[in-house]
Amino acid sequence: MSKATTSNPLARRLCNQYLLFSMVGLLTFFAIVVYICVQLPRMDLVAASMMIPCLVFFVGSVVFKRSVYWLSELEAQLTRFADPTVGVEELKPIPSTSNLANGWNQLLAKVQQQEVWNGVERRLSESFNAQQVRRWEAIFQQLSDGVVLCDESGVIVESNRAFSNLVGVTDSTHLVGQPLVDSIKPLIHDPESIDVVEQMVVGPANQVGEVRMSDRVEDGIWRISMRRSNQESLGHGAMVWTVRDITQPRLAERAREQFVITATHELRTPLANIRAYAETLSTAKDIDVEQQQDFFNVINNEATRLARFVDELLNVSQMEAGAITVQKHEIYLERLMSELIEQQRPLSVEKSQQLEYLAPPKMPRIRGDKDKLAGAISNLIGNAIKYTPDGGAVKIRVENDPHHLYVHVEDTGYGISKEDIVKLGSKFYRSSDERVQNLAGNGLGLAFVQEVARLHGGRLNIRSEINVGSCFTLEIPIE
Amino acid sequence: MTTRLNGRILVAEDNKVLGDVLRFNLERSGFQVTLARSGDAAAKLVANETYDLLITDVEMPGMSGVDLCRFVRVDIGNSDLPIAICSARGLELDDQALKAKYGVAEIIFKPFSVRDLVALASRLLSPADAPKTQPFPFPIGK
Repeated sequence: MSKATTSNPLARRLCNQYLLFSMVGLLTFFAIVVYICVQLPRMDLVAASMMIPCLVFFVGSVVFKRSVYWLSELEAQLTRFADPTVGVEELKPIPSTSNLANGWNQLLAKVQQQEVWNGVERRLSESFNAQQVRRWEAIFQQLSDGVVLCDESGVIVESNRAFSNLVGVTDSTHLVGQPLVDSIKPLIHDPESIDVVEQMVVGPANQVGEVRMSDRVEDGIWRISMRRSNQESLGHGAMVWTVRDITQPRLAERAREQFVITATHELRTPLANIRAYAETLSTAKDIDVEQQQDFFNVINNEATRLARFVDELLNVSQMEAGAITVQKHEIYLERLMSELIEQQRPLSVEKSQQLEYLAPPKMPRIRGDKDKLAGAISNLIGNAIKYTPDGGAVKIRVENDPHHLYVHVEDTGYGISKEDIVKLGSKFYRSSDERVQNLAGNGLGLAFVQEVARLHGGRLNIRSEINVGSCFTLEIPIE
Repeated sequence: MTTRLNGRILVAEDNKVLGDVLRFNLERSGFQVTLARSGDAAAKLVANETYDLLITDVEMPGMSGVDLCRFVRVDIGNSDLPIAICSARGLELDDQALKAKYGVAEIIFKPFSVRDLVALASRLLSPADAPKTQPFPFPIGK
């Protein structure tokens, strides 16, 4: 190749061929001139010999053209190569054995091969990018926070599924082109909150605000943050909004606060009684022995109540931490039920109530935590007696089917309203009924019963009618 | 308790045990005590009878102690009756606001000393000790 370049064989060959044909033509011409001088009288021979140089020129031209034809082809290919709109695959090799043509053909082969590789690489990279884009899209859609991209005037450009769910739209494409404020306005019944969002659209670059759906926490609270982006790719002045539903954490926070307030109240009340009676006993020396005894009994009862409350508080706190566990053993229900009923009987006798107990002839065998189940059942019986007026009736029925054991505790008590039934399992919740409020209680008992039922894979069912009575059914699966 | 004290006191307390011991101690000091077991019962009494002092709990079924204060000051327009609150509530009770809004003379928190409560009652009912109530901040009347 290098030799061909330095010796330039094409140019030499062209010169040689040109020289050869010129010399042959010139020699023929001289020969003819000599011949004409010798053979002048023979004109026919002169004419014939004039044809010879023409023939030689004609043959020479054809041979010359054939040897340089591929050069024009090379020029044409190079011209196309220089044109950026022509693809490499459209260029052709030149059918010639000359070095220049070989060089072109090899160059073309290499370039075409490179182009094939480039194509493969491009397709691979495109598919990789597409996968990347799909991955980010999936992440964007999976985020639990609502994310919205808005243009500088606050019109939605793109939003994710979480945001659609928050504003109650099934298809997020319906939100595109709508001002963000308009999309959330119908949900917000708190005018101040609408102001918060409107101010954020026109306000400084980075802002955080809280939006309440109404004045009730239960209706929803969102934490909205807005950042104005300086990223070219998002568009000039674009805003990225993040919307987080903080209703549940707020409710939990409020419940915790309520818990502390109620627990403090529940601790202070028996303490106040103990202190007041102890102080009275220590100062009023002249009171009679009987009254003194009454006062000591109050102190004793209140201390017991305080201790029981502390126990229940511990139970509830264990329930909350998930630390309450059940130790399952076989339970002899006949004996357990009789014991529990006998424990409670003095209370019902005191209130002149009828305490009835019905059980199947053969009790099913169940496995469970005897102490916790005893606590739960005794709580239900105790409640029935406590919230049933004097002279009423409390009936305890044990039933079973092949899969469940049912302990029904029915009373002819005050009954519970439908609104109260829903809330009864909540800690510290006590019926709003004044007759119930007048009796000592801390609203932790049923939360405990429900937890015990849950830990045994069962549940607590409540049926009740105001002024007719209630029926609490503890349902425990038979293993 | 050497000196016998005078005055009609209405005690609104839903906790029977505490109500009884308050009555016992106040009566031993010479006061006439009426015990109401709820805010509503106390409201009825205070609207129809004359008392020299109202001692009320805060958390009661139905009408709360705060509601009772509003009833006394706003609904029946009684701005003279001294009011003492004894509460089992803690920090969540805004005592300054209550004093300012309803002219509550004193707020004591459970568990309190009955001796202190008797002393408070005698101080609020003593004619020499003026003023009995905090100045009431707005005109009363329906």
